[in-house]
Amino acid sequence: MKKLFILLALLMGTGTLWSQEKESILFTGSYEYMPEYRMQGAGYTVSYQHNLKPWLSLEAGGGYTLASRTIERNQTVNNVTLLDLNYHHAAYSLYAAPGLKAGKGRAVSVDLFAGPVIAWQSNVFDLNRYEMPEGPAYTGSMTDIVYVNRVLEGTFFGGIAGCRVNIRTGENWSLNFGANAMGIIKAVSSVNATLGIKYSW
Amino acid sequence: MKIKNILLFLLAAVLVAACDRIDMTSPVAQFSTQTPPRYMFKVNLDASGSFSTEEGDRLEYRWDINGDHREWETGWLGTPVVTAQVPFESSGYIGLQVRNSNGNITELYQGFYTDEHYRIQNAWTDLEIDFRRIDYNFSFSDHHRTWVWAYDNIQLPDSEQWYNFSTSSERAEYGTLMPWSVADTLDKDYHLPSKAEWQEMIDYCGGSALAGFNLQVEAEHGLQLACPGIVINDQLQEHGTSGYYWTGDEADEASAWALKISAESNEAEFVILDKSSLASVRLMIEFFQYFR
Repeated sequence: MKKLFILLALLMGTGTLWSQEKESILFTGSYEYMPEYRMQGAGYTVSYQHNLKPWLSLEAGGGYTLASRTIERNQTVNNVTLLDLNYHHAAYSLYAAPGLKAGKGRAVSVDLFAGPVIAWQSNVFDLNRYEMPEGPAYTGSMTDIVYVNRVLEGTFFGGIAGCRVNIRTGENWSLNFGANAMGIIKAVSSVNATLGIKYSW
Repeated sequence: MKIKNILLFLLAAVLVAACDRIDMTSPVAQFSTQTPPRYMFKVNLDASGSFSTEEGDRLEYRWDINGDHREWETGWLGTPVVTAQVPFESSGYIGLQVRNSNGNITELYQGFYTDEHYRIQNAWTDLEIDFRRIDYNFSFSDHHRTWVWAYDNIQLPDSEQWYNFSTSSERAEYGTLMPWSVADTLDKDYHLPSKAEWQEMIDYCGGSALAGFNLQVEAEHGLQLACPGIVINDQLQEHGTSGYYWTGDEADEASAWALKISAESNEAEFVILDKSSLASVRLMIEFFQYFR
């Protein structure tokens, strides 16, 4: 562990210039949290970065996320058994964002980026799910369980903003971690923690 | 400057992402009829068992009474009980939507069986003019009950003791209006229904609040009581608007109880009439068959 810190400090301190990369590909995995609906999930993003200046880049990417939430109930009110509720979220998203870079070419660099997002989302929110009590003999139900949900599905627009810390691990490779927020208008927004790799050339 | 803009955008995105949590519950909907549904009878549809999972929430209700999934027969109502005429001859669905104050809706369709076990036939009695009878059959685990009611108002031949309408069609529809003493001794088998027996028929027809309508409605399985009126002091009164049917129960020496129905009212009520008043008559009898 001590060696690792020393190595990291050396890398940062020397500010070694590595390759003069113009372009990069990033593959990032993410943990997703949707504060409005308290769903949690995971996703991935593939993005392309083009460096215009040492401090400025353009990046574009696309990703897929899955998330869910279960609300435990399991209680009986007025002879009605209230069953658990589930939220499900799946989304594809595309974004384009200019980015500011600090420490380009060094062992550790930081990206700040923000830009528009277009997303296709499919969300199913259970509003209620309950088991009907047995009725008189002259009644019959189509189903014993009444299920109500709200489906929110379609293409939505929004924005993404985030930061990323890159740690160079080789001539062309670096690891990165970061955080971003994706605000989607009239649909499900999320905050994300990311971990990924980058290949530059 | 650019960094400042990006930071502002970042802040805005975080704010959008972390905006208020959305209320996502819909109410629990459940309903039934207050009394067993019968074709063409009015029943009270009661959704008072519905509730919201949010405290203090106010619910609204609307109904698809014919279950066609096309139109809601009522608008949004603030009360959970609605009166409706059953549109199904044997079975069908009735739909309910319950909406909470956030606008979230739960929809429930429930099936109802309205099959009646009855039989209409001639009643062979000692009376000069026969009448039809309707037999309601009820099966229980240890016995079978046949509940027999006159399907027509009792008709008697002309006499000064009672009142007969002038035309044969009126006589067929309204029967004879007769004093209690005559009504109480018409036949050795069939008898005037007591107040309790009429009350059982009222309960069968949806209770006092709706039996007035259900006893009159032109459904084959109903008694289809007419409103001939009443004769008091040789004067026919309330003809076409009310019907008075003797019960077998005396109120005192001079008066007896009668069932009153009105053409314009859903209700049925018991009234006390002077025994000399001329009122309508339905007779009844019942049989029990016990299994061994």
